[in-house]
Amino acid sequence: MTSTRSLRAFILPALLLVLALAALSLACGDDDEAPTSTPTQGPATSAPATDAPTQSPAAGTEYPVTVTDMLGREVTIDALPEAVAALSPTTVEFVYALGGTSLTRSSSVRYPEAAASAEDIGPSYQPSFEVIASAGPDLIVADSMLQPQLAQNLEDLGVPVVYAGVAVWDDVATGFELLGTILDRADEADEAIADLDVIKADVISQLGTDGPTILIVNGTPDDFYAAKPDSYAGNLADILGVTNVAAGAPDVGQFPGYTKLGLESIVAAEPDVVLAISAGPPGGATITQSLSDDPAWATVPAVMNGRVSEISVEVFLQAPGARAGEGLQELARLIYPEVFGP
Amino acid sequence: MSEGAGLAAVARVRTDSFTRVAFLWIVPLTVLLVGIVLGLSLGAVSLSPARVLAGLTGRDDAIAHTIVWDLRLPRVLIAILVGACLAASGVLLQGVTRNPLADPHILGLTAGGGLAATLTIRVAGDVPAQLVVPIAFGGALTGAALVYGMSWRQGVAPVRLALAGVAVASFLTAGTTMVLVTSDLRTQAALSWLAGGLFGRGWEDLRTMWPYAGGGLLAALLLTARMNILSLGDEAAQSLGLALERSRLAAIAVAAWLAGAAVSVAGMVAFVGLVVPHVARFATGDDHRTLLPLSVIIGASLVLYADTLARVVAAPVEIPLGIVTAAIGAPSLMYLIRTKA
Repeated sequence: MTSTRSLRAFILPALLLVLALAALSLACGDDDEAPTSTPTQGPATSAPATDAPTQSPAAGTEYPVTVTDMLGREVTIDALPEAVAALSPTTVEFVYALGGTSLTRSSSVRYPEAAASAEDIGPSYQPSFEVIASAGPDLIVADSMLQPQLAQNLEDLGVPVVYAGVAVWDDVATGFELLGTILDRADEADEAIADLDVIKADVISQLGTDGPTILIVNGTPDDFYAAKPDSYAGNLADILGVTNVAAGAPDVGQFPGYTKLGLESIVAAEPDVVLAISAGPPGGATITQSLSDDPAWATVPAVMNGRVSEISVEVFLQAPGARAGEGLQELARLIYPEVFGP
Repeated sequence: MSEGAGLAAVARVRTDSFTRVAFLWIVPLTVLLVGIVLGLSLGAVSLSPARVLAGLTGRDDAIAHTIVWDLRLPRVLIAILVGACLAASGVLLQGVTRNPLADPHILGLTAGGGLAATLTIRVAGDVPAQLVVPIAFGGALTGAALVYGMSWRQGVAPVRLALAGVAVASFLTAGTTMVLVTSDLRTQAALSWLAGGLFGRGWEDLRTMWPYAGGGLLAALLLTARMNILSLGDEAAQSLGLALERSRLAAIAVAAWLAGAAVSVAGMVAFVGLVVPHVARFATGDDHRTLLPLSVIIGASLVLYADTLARVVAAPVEIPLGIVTAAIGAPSLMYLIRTKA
């Protein structure tokens, strides 16, 4: 009896103490947040006046400029950024395509070659904040597809953070426009967007009415996923008027816009063209090789007619964005060889 | 026996106990201090000691300040708290189950916290860190309640407690794996901390977790005398007037509390709660009044050194903290088993 009472006697105060401490820390948290969040919100009132994309290209960007980035965040940039840290293949390629340079790159960046000398920050989904900070950037360009969960960490580095990223073809122009405004390279951005429009219009003008049935797969020979029309590769193919075998299937697996198709439904759908994005080390086994060796695939029209091709992991999966025009042309050549030649 | 010889004997006892105290406390505390210095000095970016000091003491060197003060220091402090919590939780669980294999990981407490956090993030999407902590925390307590409930049959026998713990842990871990496997890349990225690690942890996380950690550690310290009586066995404890079930419940609740605090910021860091109490017991014996504080210090050091290694070994890539704690912890446990038993 006595021990019961004494136990209660110390557990209650302990609980109360902890609750008090928790409440205290919450209160402290609020105090600390207030001053840090005001500076970013303050200049937002000037947003309507400087809503950048509507500016005429010749005028150039007037700083401070407030933009809405591709995560929907409002970001104010006080002066022309001179030290840009881009954190993913897509964002690095955007910056270089606009004629800029990046202080940093993620490990998987292979293009452009000029970016090879940038500081390696590690994998884009788990970059080293120390390396980013030590590069001393005055603007961080993060990837809205790969790095939305890092927003707080990046903002804590005390430098403006802008998110750009590409899920589908139309996002490329949005990304160019956004970064062109921020980096005062609107002319270069407009030029890049015009190039994209020309390529797209040119390709579409040569297409017939009936596109082939295609299947785009990504992964390893043993375990692959099919790209739906709402994936980046699937979206580019969709522009070319194809019928996608995977359309309408639910998302399955890690990558948004990809699904898992059984061999039976692939055989039944009779794809005329199979495009493969093989993951894994360069020179390793590709999906293309294993398909032609597998008797189960032998009745698929694409395999019978030798219409199975590898497409670039970089252009179609790792770094969707600045090279979209290139990608669209490559797809056009592979899907309509009779029109666009080998 | 002459008076002089008696005095000499007393003096010898004093010196012995001084040496003992020195080894017991000064050595581990020094190791911890060195760990703090290393944790602040080492990282993906190499800074000179002068810059580390400048970054720690002021804002003149802005880059050094960001790296040392904003990135390294909070991680060092969080590592210390996580290690302390896991070790204390392990001591309580091994004491209450009288099973040397008990730890918050094996008994389903971290698994409960992990599953609760995983489900929340899966269902609700982006959840602020301030919410993940109490949720992981609630999960750990729920895991403990499940274990406790399953092992109840007119009281909880230590053996049933351990077995129920293993069962609940496997079940909850399977649930977490299921949720993770069926998630898309973005949800997986949001859940990557679960795998165990302090990537991206900063002041905000420390501010959220320290009251839980501090309160839990304090409660654990208050329980130590009771733990000593519990470890004598049920009959002896009862004959000494201890309310057996209530004491067990208190110990398990505090252990879950500590595990929840750790898992909410560090995910599932294996092995610390299991191995640290054994190392400490090797140095000090079974008295929980010294066993618990010593375990707390050793646990803090283990996670601190492991996290520093995780940051540095393959920089700029971070390797998972759990791998490092296992790589350090497993050999030390084997060594203890070979030499002690």
